[in-house]
Amino acid sequence: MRWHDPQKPGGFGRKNPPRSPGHGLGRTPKPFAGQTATQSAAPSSAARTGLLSLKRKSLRFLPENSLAGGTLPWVIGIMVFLCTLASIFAFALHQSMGDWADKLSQQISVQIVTADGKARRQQADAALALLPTIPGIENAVRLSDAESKALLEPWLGAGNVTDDLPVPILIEVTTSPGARIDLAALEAQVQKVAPDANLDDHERWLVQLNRLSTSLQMVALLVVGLILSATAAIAAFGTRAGLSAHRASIEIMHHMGAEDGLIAHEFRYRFMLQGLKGGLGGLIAGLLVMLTLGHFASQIGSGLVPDLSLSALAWLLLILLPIFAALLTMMAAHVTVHRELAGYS
Amino acid sequence: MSNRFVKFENVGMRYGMGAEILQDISFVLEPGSFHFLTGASGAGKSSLLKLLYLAHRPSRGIVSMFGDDVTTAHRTALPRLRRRIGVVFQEYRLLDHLSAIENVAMPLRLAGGGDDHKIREHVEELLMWVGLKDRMHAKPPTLSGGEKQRVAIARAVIAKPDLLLADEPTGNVDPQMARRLMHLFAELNKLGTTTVVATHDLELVHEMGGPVMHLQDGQLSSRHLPERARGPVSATDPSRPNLSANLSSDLSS
Repeated sequence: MRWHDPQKPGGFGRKNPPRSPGHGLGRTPKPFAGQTATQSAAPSSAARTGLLSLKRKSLRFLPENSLAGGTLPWVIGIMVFLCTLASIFAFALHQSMGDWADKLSQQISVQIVTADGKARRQQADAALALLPTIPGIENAVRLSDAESKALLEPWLGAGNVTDDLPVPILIEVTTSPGARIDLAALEAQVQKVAPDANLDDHERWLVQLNRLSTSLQMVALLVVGLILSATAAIAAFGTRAGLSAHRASIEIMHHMGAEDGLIAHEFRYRFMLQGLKGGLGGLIAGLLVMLTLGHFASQIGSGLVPDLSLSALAWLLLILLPIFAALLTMMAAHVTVHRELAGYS
Repeated sequence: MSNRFVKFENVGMRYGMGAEILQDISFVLEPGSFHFLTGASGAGKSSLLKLLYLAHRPSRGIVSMFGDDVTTAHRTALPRLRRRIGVVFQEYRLLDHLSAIENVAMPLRLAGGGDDHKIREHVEELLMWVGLKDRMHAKPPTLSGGEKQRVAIARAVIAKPDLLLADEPTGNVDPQMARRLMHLFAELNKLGTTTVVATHDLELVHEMGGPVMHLQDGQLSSRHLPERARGPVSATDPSRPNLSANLSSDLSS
């Protein structure tokens, strides 16, 4: 029995106020000294909420690692991994489609289509002489006969393109960057010297390319959105599991006058950490996969596979992904705690 | 200073759609008063305590705590009131992963009061005072029933609540310890804490004296035990150790 014997001096014996320093407590017990501050009542509710969100220290009313430990960071890691891949796909697509479109939009093809081989050559020469003198046009290059044949071979078969086949002459015109060329006016101008010339600025092609690129990006974005919603749902689920696993402790805290905000703070903080942990893992895994794919792609050679290099903005967004996942997890926990606790008595 | 009265007016309580566990309960707990709450098992003691520590709402009637009507108060208004109430649960309800000292410090931390060092010092002092000097850093699962009891009591009183509720606080300890714990409550009461001790240990009630709220079949009857005068529990019996004399002098010094 550790209770102080009340009859002894130094205990709570009524007749012995003076205490010998060596005995028992060794000094005057003042269990309620210094209590006026806390008793004088609870701080205002506003002050408490302020404390809570900014500098409130965790009260550790839940055991360490007892919340959302184990599986949650893994699941969030997987989600962020998938998000990383989808984002990289979208960014790379955007980048390479953009590059391609830029290149195409600076190109105009001039086709001289006539069965008369002599006229074709004359018109081509005239067009070649005229085109570089027109403002906004950087240069005009005639595709050699061999090159023209090479373009046809996939359709006609190698060796079937005979010299007497009237293959149209192609002139690739490159416009100055930023120059606005009126295609119809240019065509009229060219047709004065080369009546059989057709001009094509790939507009139709570009529109289709853009549509495809936009759709693919939308799909990627949708995938990212779905993954993030699933992440939030999992965090909410984990929060509910945590709340029910620790219901007894939470009730104890409630009985002592803890506000929901304090409980939510604890959950927010821990879920944020788990989200960050999983998110970082997922990002690193995603980047590793991207680097490996990029390496294989570079071995195949350029041109075939779109370049996997990313813009600075894309990198920034990727790096923000785990932080975003952490914030999302935290918010889901916050909302869930408040919603669930509102159902408590 | 805000109102420190606790007032029940025609309070009834039921769980869900069940029959009324408590009926027509009316009483006023004057600030600084000391009450026993007695009654057979199932008479509604725990339910009445639940109403008192704001874990449950009455199904009819009015409960007012320190001047606030809690019958219809929004649940966000309750924590502020709960912080003025100390509860010693029958089953202790300590946080098992925290040491005794951390458990006892929790109400002070919740009140947001003072720096950590001061809180610790203060908690250590109280734990020494209840004789747990060597068990301060032990966690509840390693404590004996009596030790847990004292940790729970220390936690209930550390923030010097306006209302102290104890549910069978002597149920799990030997009679000698029971008496010591009761005297601790008496001392707190002397310092102005309204105290309600639920017990079925009638012998103890007789010994301590004071007003008794007796529950029978969900209804309350007040009575005073014949051998004692009215009013808060008296600690003037020379045959019994007096906690209050020293404590009061400590406080005034």
